[in-house]
Order: sequence, then structure tokens, then C-alpha cells
Amino acid sequence: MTAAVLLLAAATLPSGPLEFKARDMRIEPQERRVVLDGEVHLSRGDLNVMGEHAVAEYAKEQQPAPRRKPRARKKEAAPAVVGGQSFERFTVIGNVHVERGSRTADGEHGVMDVKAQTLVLTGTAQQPPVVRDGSETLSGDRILLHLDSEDVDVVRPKVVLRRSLSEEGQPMPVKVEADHLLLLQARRLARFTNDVVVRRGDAVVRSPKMEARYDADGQLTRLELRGGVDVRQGERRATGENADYDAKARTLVLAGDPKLYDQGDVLTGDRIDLALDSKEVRVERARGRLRPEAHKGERGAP
Amino acid sequence: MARATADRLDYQRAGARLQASRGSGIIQPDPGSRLAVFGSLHFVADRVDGEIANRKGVASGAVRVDAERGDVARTERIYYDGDFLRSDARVDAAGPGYRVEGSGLLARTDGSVIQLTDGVKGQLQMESRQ
Repeated sequence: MTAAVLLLAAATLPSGPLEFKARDMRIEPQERRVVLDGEVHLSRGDLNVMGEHAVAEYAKEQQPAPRRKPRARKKEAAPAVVGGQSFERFTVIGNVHVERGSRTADGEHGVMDVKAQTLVLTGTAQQPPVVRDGSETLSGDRILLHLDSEDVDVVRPKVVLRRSLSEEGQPMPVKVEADHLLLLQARRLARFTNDVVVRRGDAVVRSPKMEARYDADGQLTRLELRGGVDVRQGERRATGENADYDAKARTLVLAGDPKLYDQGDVLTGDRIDLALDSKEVRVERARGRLRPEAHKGERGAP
Repeated sequence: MARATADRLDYQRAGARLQASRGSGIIQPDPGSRLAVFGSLHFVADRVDGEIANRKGVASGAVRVDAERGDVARTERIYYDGDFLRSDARVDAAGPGYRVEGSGLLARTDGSVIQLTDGVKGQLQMESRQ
């Protein structure tokens, strides 16, 4: 995902009142909430949240901090209840649309927690929540936007990295899936963990964790896969403890007891470089077993 | 419990109609009722026309309601019809953490519904960060 998408939550939400517009507003003091219905629009600073309904919940009443008891007093009066003058949580339901700066996000359900400075978007199985920045799209089961930093937390992310490659002609997008994604904007880093699957053309790479790094323009520069990597492309398979993908060179370098399996060939070495476009392989300090007969009939074979 | 006063009150026994100018009233909701959370409610209006037998009325001219808990609502006209209060005029209201302007009002006199209608805009005060 590009750094630009990470900027969805680029600045701290300014304190103060939240502006709203809607068709109707219901005041429900016993439920300690206010309900907005019909074309709801909430805004604060550069944050705009739209939806069909919204529920604003009052902050819980707080007891004041206990004061030190004066020794001379016999009986302390019960502390007065304070608070309940402001809202701590806004739930927006139905066609939720979020705008912040040039970025947008969509979902079916959004919860803004004022104290935590977070906005959590969820959707349905058919329509998961999505964050967009131009042609870039990030979806997942649950998207948490940090309003006080530039970070985004995604459960079961599905990312298409369209701007990740400066390829000539038709660019080949890199698709990434994982159990969890944490976007750290300040470090221009996307950290995928648990069952990471990267697809690019016919190449599929699996690893327990992966970090994607970006440059200042939001272009992907590098993928770093750690903890055991499995690469498959056509009938070729490669494994290693670690792998680094160079987005500019479009090569994947396997290290840490790397092995290449290709139609009966088994090669190992200090490192294995896979060129994903040309499908060329370079093995440093190679050793292994080759079966030339298995490659008869291939283009370029004698 | 309710009490009311007016600068002038005309009462027509036939039809049990009343007209009050510069009327004001105070309602003390029953404890435990949905209105009780507001505390006592104080009403003022330049003019009040009512049909007591039919439980109908209209208050007009600088109508204002102040609740003990801090809510304030203002409008130019409000209708009372049985269990409902309605306004088709602009309503400005404010209370704990909110300020709102609406094009109308619909409320049940028992407090179970209090709704500003037909286009609302305003502000909701957000809890400060800890």
C-alpha cells in the first residue's frame, strides 16, 4: 500500500465540537445518547463521516478524584457527580463514507472512539471496508484508522499495490493478503503478519511475516519476508528462511538455506535470485542435482 | 405537577377555551418518568390559545422551554395535540454537549420522543482526550 493511503489518518483530530447535519435528531436522555437519522454528515477539521444513521453516546459520568480528607472533619459529604456533558463515541451505520484530505474510506459500520482517537470501519462479507487513495485500494475485515497518528490497522487485509511498480507497458499489480496489517506512516512501512500471501502474475510467495517499505512518493521500494519463505512460479518452487523483493529490479532474493526445486532439479547455494519477469534464476555458490532430461522440449533446450 | 401564570388570561367557559398573554408555566415531572431526567421544565410564550376539553392548544411568540438539567429550546410556534407537541417552525435547542437547529419538532408529552425534524444541523461536544 502506498504511503499516500497511510495518510488517510494524517493528522490529529482537533479537539472541540463535532459539526453535524442530518434529516432528524432524536434526543434520548435516558439512554444517554443522541440519534441522527437520514443523510447524516459529521465533520471535524478535515475529517468528514457520512452515513444513514448515527448514534452519539455521552461520556460516562465520572466521579471526581477523591480529595484528601481533612483530619478535623467528622463526615465527608458524598461527592457530586460530574461529566456527561460531552460525547465519547459516535457510531455511524449504513453506507458509511469517510473523507480525510484526499483519501476516502467506505464501510457499512463505523465507530469513532474520541478518547482512543480511532475510527473502526467494518463491512459485510460481500462488501468489506475499503480505503482508497486514487487508484490504490486497501480492504480487509476491519480497518482501524488512528486519528492521532498516521497509522492504519487492518485485520485480514487485501491489498493491491498498483503503484508499486514502475513497469513499462501494462503494470502487473502485486496483491497481498494476510491476517493482519499495520501501516506505520511515519516509518513508511507496512507490516503484514500471519499467513502472508503475495501474488504477482503467476508468482505466489508465502511467509509468516512481511514488511513493505515505501519511498517519499508512496512508491513501493522493497518487500522483506521473514520466518520461512515459500515461492512458487509455474512448476518452479523456491524456499528460504528470508526473502527480499526489490521493486525496481523486480527480483526476489532468497537467503537462509535457500533451495530451488524445478522439475527434478534441486539447487541450493548461498543465495538465490529470482527474476520474476524473465523467470531467470541465479544461484550463488550453487550445489545440487540437475536432471537435464526433465527439460527436454523446453524452449531453448538442445 | 404543573403550575402556570399569565399577564392576562381570558377563559371562555363554552368550549373551555382559554387565551393567555405572556404566559409561563412550570412542570415538575413525576419521579421515574422519562421526563424526570430533565428535572423541572419551565415554559414561556407570548401567547397561548387552548381548548382544554379537546386537549389542544398552540403557544406562539418567543416560545421557550428551559429544563433544569440545562436544556433550552426556542421556537416561534408550537402545537399541543393530545399526547404530542409539534412545531413546523424553526427550533433552536441546546443542552448538555449539544447545540442544534431544526426546521421542526415532534415530541411526546411523556418525554418518550423528542425529535427535531425536517433538516437539522448543529454541534456535538466531543469528550476531551485523556
